Amino acid sequence: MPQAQGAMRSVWDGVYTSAQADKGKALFGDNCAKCHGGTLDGNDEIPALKGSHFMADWESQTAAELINRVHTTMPMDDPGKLSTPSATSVVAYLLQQNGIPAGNSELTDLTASQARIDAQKPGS
Amino acid sequence: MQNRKVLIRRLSSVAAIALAPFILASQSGAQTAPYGQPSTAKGDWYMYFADPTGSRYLPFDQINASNFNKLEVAWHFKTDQLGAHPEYKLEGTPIEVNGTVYTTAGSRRDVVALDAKTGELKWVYSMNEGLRAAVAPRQLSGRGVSYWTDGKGDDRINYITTGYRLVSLNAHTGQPVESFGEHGIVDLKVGAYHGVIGQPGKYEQIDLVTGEIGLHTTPTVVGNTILVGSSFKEGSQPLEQNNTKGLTRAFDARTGKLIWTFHNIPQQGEPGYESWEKNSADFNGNTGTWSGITVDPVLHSVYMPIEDPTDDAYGGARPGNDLYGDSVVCVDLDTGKLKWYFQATHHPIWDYDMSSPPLLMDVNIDGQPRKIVAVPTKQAFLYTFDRITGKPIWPMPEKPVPQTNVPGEKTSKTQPFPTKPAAYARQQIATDDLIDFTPEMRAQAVDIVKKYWKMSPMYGPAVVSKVGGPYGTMDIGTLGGGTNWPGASFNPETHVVFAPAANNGVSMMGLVEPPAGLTDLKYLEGIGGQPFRINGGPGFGSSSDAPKVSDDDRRLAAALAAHPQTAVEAPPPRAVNGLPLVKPPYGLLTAINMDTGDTLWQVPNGDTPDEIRNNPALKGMTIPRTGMGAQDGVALTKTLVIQGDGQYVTSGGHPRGAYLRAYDQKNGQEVGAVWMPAPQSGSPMTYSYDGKQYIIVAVSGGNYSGDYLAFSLPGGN
Repeated sequence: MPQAQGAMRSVWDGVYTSAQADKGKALFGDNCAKCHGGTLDGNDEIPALKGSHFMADWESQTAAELINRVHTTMPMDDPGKLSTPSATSVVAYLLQQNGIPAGNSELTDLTASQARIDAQKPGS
Repeated sequence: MQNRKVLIRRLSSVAAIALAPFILASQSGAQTAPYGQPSTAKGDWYMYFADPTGSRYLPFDQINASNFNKLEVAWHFKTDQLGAHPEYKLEGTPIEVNGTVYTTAGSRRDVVALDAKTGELKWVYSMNEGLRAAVAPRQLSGRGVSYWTDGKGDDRINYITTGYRLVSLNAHTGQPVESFGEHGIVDLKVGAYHGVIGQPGKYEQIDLVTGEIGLHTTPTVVGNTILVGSSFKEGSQPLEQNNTKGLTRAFDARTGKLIWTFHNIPQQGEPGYESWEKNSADFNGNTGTWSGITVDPVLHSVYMPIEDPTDDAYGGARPGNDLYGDSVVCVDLDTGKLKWYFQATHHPIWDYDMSSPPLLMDVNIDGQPRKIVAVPTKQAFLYTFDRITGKPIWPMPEKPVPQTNVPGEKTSKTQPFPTKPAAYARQQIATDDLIDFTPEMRAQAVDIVKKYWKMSPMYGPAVVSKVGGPYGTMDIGTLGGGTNWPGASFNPETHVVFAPAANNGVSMMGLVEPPAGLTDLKYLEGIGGQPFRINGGPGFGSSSDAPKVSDDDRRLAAALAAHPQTAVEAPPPRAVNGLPLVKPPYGLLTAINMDTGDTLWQVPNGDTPDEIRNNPALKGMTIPRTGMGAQDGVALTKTLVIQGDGQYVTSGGHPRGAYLRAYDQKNGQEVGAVWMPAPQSGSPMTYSYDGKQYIIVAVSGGNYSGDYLAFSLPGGN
């Protein structure tokens, strides 16, 4: 059954592709790792981008909001450098690194606004 | 001339505004016009910490235990449009004087004046500082502003820009005060200096644009004096041993003229210089006064909390006790001359700083009235002294502490240990402090510590981090523990201190040799086997100004290009299933009776945050209230301690958010909580205007950008 347009899904429902996450990984390495670390573990006051603190920060927000945050404020020394498609790939990588599985459809502007971030797989 | 006319016209509106207190006065029956000096008795929260003693206390109780849950958002001020992009770490505490709220906000650190009843924007002042702000060590919106008045209508707002300029603004118009400094501005970088390598006793002015110094704490204004401290990049990894030197200065509030300078690192011939062996005082920097300065105007005494020298974790290039590193220093308000000092940490290498404004209290000890100063700390000791003599109120013996094995380092044999009040949060980590939700988790934590980290009693020095372990000494309170910049508070009527503290701020103190060519420091903080990284520090690189340059990053990139580094293994673990290595409570709120030094009560600061309660490893378990390991400041009314959650909590049928909580000052019981869309990120304040009491708190974090929320009780007036 195709999803009704506008229906909210969970990020656990396969909302990005592995290829996107790979692209995001490269972008992360070039733009984000110098502060957040190659393993996303943060450093002192620089927040980790994986784990329960990060997921609690974004719980019940949409992936679009996280993309917007990356696009408008990161990297801190050059905000706006990552285009929305690039920020989307970075977010796909972050989802992957937080144990959320890839699927068959790409994360896009539209699907991201309908993808709710859940710290844990719903119903698990 | 044109400007002058504008000024005169605006000044004429001062008369209209000055009528407001007259109305207030006729209602309260307490005061008559003119408004004169602001005071907490009138309902003003007129300094960052309410008043010059640092109390964070307002003697009002319209908002109390019986009605706290009825609080509503009276207005809010979203800061997104200030600066070039939104800010997610809003840390200001506004001030309020006679119906106007003043604060800093936004990623350019603008100043705003808001109507205290409605939040309506009255004026905004903004300075575009370009490169000077882009490279500033302390960025973001800062912690707020200061107020000065001659009591007759010349009312001013003082603040420090991202690029370290002291600005004096007309409180009614937001225009710079022409007669102050140069057109309202004093360049604080003028007079900041560093040493000259190889030439002891010689000092050099820093570059006015790129030289490293700044401040995000508010200046302290008392009488006609403005006190200004100094701050640098986060100290764990400075790239110059010979960094800019910390200093504390006083300026004339009317003219901006420099009155005195206190050298936080003594110069040749000044007392304390000899505490740096081998003339090392001349070739070390930092040692700033980055936290709030408090003042006793009757004693003409200034109390300054001073931080670590260069750098936070290795002191091989500065053998000795290194005064006035990690000291509370008392100087004369008029001359800046030293009255007394106390060094809480000798030869500082733990990042303990002195991170909180000293609290100036009048209490009764053994039946005798005493003027004391109590300094909350990252160590979770409340160091307490007679504030006239500097003598400890309760014994503070020097005790032996662990010694270093790092090449070139020389630790102090002893450190002072207060016997009273008792420590109000964890000071060291032993096996019994490790996570124990289940026996398996405890076993896992014990295993992680054994394999990777070094447990130590308090004052465990850093180790050289190496593959195979230990990767670092487990310390607590050094970076993120105890009481940090939000400080504590006290009720001057009951003589009780209310101290918030993080209780899970574990730091793994490891040192590595930095990549060749990067710095003249032998060791910097780092983890063996991992590529060297620079901790940017909170907010660094986030100012509104362009071009964005991080000289440190460029230097690191060049050094790593010449000597590439790759990780030889996965980073050593610091958590168990994503949960902190230490067991709850993660944060505490403590009440201490300062007549006796006894702890009255201690409770977790708030609920269990989502990141703990939603952790899959704890599924199905009942977790007691853990509190939060956050730096959460408080405000006091006559009867309540007000403190917001520093982390996200979803509970009570509300959407995800956080709670502003009220605790009964008598027993610590939570007597009310109101929902907020995001965690508290700046300490709350409260004021009363036109018969109504308000609470303002800065919230931000996660996905939520900076917002000042003002709460009051329902019903108009």
